[in-house]
Amino acid sequence: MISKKCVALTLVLSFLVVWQSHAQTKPFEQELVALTASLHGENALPHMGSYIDLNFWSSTYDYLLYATPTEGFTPGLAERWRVTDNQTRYTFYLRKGVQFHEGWGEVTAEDVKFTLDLIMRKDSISSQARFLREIVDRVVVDNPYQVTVILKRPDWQFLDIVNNDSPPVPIVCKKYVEKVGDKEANLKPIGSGPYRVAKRMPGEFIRFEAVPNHWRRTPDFKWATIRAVPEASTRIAMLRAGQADLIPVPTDKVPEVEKAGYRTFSNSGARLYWVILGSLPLPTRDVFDPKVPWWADYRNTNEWERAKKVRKAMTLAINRKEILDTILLGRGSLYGVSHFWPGNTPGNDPKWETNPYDPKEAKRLLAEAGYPNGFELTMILLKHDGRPEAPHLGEAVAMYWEKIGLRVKRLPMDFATLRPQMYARKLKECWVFGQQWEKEPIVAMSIDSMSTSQYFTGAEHPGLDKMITDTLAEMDSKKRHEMTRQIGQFFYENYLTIPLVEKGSVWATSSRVADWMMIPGMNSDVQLLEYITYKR
Amino acid sequence: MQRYILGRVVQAVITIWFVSVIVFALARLTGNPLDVILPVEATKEQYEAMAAKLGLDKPLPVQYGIFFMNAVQGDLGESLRFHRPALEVVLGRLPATLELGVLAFLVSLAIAIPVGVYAARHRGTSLDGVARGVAILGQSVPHFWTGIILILIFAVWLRLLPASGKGGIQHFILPAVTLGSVMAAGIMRLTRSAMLDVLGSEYIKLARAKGVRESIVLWKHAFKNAALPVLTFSAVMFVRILTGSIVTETVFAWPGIGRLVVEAVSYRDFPVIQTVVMLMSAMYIAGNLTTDILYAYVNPKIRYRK
Repeated sequence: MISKKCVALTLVLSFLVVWQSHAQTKPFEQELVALTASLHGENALPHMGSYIDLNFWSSTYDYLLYATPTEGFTPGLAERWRVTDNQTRYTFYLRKGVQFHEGWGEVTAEDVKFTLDLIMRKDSISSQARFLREIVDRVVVDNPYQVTVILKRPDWQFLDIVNNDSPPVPIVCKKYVEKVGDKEANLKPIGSGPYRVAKRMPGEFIRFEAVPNHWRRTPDFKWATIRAVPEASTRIAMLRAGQADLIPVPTDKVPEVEKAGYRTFSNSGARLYWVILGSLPLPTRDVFDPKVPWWADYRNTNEWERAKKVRKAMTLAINRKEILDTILLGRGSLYGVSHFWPGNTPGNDPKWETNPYDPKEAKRLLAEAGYPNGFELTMILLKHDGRPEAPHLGEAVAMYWEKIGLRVKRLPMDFATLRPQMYARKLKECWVFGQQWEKEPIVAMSIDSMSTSQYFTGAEHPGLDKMITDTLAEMDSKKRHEMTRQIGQFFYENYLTIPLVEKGSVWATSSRVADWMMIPGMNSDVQLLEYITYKR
Repeated sequence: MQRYILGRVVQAVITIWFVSVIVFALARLTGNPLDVILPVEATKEQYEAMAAKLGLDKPLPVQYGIFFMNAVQGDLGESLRFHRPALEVVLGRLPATLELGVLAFLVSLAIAIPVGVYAARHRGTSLDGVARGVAILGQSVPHFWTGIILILIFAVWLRLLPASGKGGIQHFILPAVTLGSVMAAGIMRLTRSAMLDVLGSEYIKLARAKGVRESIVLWKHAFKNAALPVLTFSAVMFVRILTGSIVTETVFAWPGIGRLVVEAVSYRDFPVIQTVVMLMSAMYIAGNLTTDILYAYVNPKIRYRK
């Protein structure tokens, strides 16, 4: 635990130190080759793609603010910002002299307004679109270096939106997009970040060239190429053959890479895995079935307690430590409640111990709940982009459940097939879900844990809906975090979901890489290439 | 003859139309592309707007009608992933697959025919046994494994060749050998058995009795006659190479249509899936049509048959 804290502290300090450093002004004549399994949708404009697409352009763009691993932000294009007391006006004071690539001029307040308007546009598919449309009244350009966003109602989340954290809001060049149009600008993005796009073959690679004397960070490597290599064995072979410098390594291949003598980097918070128990629907839903042993009408206390026993039994039946050590080879940690990342997550309560592995107690609880001979259920083995462990974790959980007498059918399914059924609340099955990094659990829960949510990963309960709504409306961060903790407590006490493991992502580097500042939550998509240093 | 050709062409057009219906329906069975394109937080309004934009809000027969009418005019839709015409995306990747396919084809012929002829000439010897064993191995070992082993030997250990990607001629060697190995095994076995048939015939015995040099007996008299089934089989295998290079392209991160279609399926990029399948079907059908016409040209019995 101490070493974990030390690592976290070192990470934070190095983050801040490196962030502000400008030691290197001219890149070395070297090329960095980073590999990825897929370049995904590759959309480079924020209104045309999802956050995953934008990950690859993190070095091409600059952002108003940069998220730190803990609370708060550091200045980006906005040198400073001011928020009115009632949290309805956010004024950003822009850094002067920051230039867009290829002579497209200086970054001004017009570009910030244009970017926000773009995301809020009617045809925008950005995940930020709904929130910004709901909350933003208008964006006012005060002068070329000052822009004010006026909200319809007080909101504390706004700063969480306009930064580089996922989903990021990159500032795009108004003049360029208006001149060449969305499609062309999406194909060849112009930003103001440390790397400009030099060449691109959609689906195959993106080649960047460093911008000398960049205001934020001049990259060490003059060129950087992100190349899509779908096969993990080929990626490892390329590293070993000296044809790649940076590769994401699947957990099961980590020993092989380390044995070959390559340095590996790990970060925390790539994924938080938990078991969803068919979303525990409200009794008013068509899908609600009182025969599902772990579901119950919350208005019937006896029934709710009985179902809770079943959920507790299903929780105690799982040996998380063994899962962590075998499937994830120890690259991760255990945690207490879904949505709450281990560590300094707002609202996280250290008292939420990870539930013990106790199959005897699980069997006893099942018998007490009226299922001495177990019951049948289905585990969906979910194939979901960026979550390669999910089906294996699902299989492991199914095997643990079988040990306490449950009869588990397996159903392989990909996320695109599951998604519409999840939206329509048609699923009685269980599945293992992997959440991406989210600093504020309440933000994630407001999106995926309310009965009004489309995308659903929690449990439906009117009490929960109210708690989440009230917490979101609370402007005082201390109070809000305490309210967030209470929501976590509700999840914890009622075993609404089954927390499994938090998983870090692992990257291996060639000997040409000296260091790399990884950011929390970064998964297998390489980001912030400018912070990879060259080993002289 | 003209009537025969016309009949075959009409059959080919009907087959392509039928393929278009099948691929259109099957692609939609895989799910809704909106579930991949839109972020998970997307609202109902965003769903509806995108569905309308892509024409997915219309009934399936109407969608097919629009697709068909556009396809007839050469417009196979716009890639949902790349925001460019699907045909342009596919044709952009086709040269890489063709280049690899042609090279793999040549590699396989260069290996299979001499080995097949040699094995037939030395039937029953240990070398024949080795050749047959290697051929069986070549047909039974998956491409995937062959590719990875070749990468390990030539890229990682010897550091002679690149492990993946497309660039200079050196980039072609490992994927071409991998892809060609399966075909080489098949052609080698066929060459051997065809040669065995021919080598046992009277005219070969006569040629040998007349004292004709063995190499001339083998290559001029025997192989020429044994080559027909080999060439027919090779032509079919060549199209198979083009359409079946998915695994090789994935292992070597080769920017061809095999890899494109795999990613298109997981991205639910219907226009690209449809374009690739229709293009591949058209190639198959064109290959068969050419063979039919050539057969008819060579064998009058075929064209005069009812």
